[in-house]
Amino acid sequence: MSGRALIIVVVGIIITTSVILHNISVSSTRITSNLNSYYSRQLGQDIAQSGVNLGLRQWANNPSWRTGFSLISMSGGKVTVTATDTTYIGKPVVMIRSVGITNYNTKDERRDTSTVWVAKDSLNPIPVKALFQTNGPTSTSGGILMDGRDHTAPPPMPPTLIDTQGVYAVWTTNTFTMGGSNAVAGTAGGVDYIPSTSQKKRAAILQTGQPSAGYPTTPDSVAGGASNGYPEGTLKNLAKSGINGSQYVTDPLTLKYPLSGVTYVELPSGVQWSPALVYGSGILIVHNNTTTAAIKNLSGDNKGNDTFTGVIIADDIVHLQGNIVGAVFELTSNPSEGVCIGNSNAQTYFSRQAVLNATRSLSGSSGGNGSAANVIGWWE
Amino acid sequence: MNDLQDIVGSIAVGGMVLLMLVIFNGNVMESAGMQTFKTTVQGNLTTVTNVIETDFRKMGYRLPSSLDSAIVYADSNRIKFKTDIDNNGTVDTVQYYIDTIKASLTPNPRDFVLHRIQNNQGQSMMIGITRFKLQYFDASDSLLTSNPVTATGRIKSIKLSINMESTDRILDNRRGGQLGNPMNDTSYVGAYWERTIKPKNLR
Repeated sequence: MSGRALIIVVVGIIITTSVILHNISVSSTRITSNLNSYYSRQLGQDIAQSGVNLGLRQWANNPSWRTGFSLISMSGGKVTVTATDTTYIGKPVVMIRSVGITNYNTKDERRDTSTVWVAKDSLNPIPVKALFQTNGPTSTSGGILMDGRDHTAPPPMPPTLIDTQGVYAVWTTNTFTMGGSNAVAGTAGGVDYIPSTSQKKRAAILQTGQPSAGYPTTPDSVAGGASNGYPEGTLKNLAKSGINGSQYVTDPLTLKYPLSGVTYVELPSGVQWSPALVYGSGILIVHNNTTTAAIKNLSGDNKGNDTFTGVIIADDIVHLQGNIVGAVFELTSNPSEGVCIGNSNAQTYFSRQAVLNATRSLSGSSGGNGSAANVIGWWE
Repeated sequence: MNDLQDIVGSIAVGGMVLLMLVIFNGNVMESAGMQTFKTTVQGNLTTVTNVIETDFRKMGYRLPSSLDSAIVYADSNRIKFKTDIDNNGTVDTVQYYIDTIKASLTPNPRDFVLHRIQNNQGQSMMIGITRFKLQYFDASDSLLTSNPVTATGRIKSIKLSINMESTDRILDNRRGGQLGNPMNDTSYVGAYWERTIKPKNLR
């Protein structure tokens, strides 16, 4: 091989090698770029989530806060947070949206969004006059305890007594007759009355013959109606929305347990739910348009799930036998099976905390922790 | 005589130089090939993890009832969950699973097909996934050991591990030691990724 040929071969190999080395360099750059892209994505998401948490904390401190944050520096990037009023699954909420920006104002700028929907505390507490409010003749039998004094929400069970903050044991537009070994307790005029089987001695906490005019005929009117934030259909819509475990059924056998949120059982006219398995928490409604939906032999499962904590609103209550902590409303003026609202060894206690929790759970403000307690949806 | 010695010497030296250049060029080409494969594998890996992470983070979004778990089914290589994945107000069902049958359409004998099913519409990914492992943890970060998980409502976080290899062999086994494949078969380029995802809507 001549020297010239050798030079040509060597130069050719050098050129080829240079091209290949360039390709290697390009490939390495792509790998690095891939890593950078992954890092930017993660950083952008982190910034966006931090922005959401910033907004949540601000909202927790001041629920009227809507001004947001504009392009504040965070973790080497920028974040913009907005807060607006809207609805989420039919519920009024505040939407907090955060946009995390990495490599701001460069050709590699990247934006990631994180959004949360925060429930407003829009539901007012249900007004309660007595542990039992009825619109018809009412009686008891067996060993039922009706304690209208205030208690904490369980646990423990029996709940802890809170002095002098309670309500009447019974408030009715008609008559009330104690039977069996029924004991009643309650609070009237700031005075607690301990359980007693004497109707005469406990007359102060047994309010009978009250005015029937204006007695509520629907669950929403029990809750105070439109003036209290419950226009007709509110509770049914909440039940249908499924919020916090709410359920709407026409067949109580399809209910899921433990009950929570609003449990709305709409029975055909004159149909009884019997025996009625009831345990859990929230608001239990048994109602229909003719005010004839009946719940009978209400009790737990005898496997340790024997207590319902919250508010029960039913057209017609027959033989309440389980443990109730909260308050009970009966709507009918004409009970279907006599007048015995409760019997057996049912333990019923008024609890202001339980009544408040029943509506707070629907606002999303019970349970959870920190600023995320009211969040009902995340999108990221 | 001297001229002959010069010619023979030149041929010998020139030949050695040429041989060295050829070998060098071969090594450079090999490196270029490996680099290309690595780029492809890592690109595929970040793409598939991006898709999975995006879906998993939305798990449980817009579900009306907290009584129903967002996760319908969960085992070590399959997960099915509910979410409004396209944010249109309708809850969708998304399923990920890896085939138990190897991906016969690729030369790699160990890779599987990863399936993503959204509302019965499937997408198959034959990109060299050799392992797709799911582990589930409850609210206290304790591993849920039953497989499949019986109480899916307890799942609060998911650890996902993915091994990926090139679908084609780059070197024979004798040369494979240079690749540093974490799966020990050094004739394929490989990459490993794992992450614990805590979907915010699984409260």
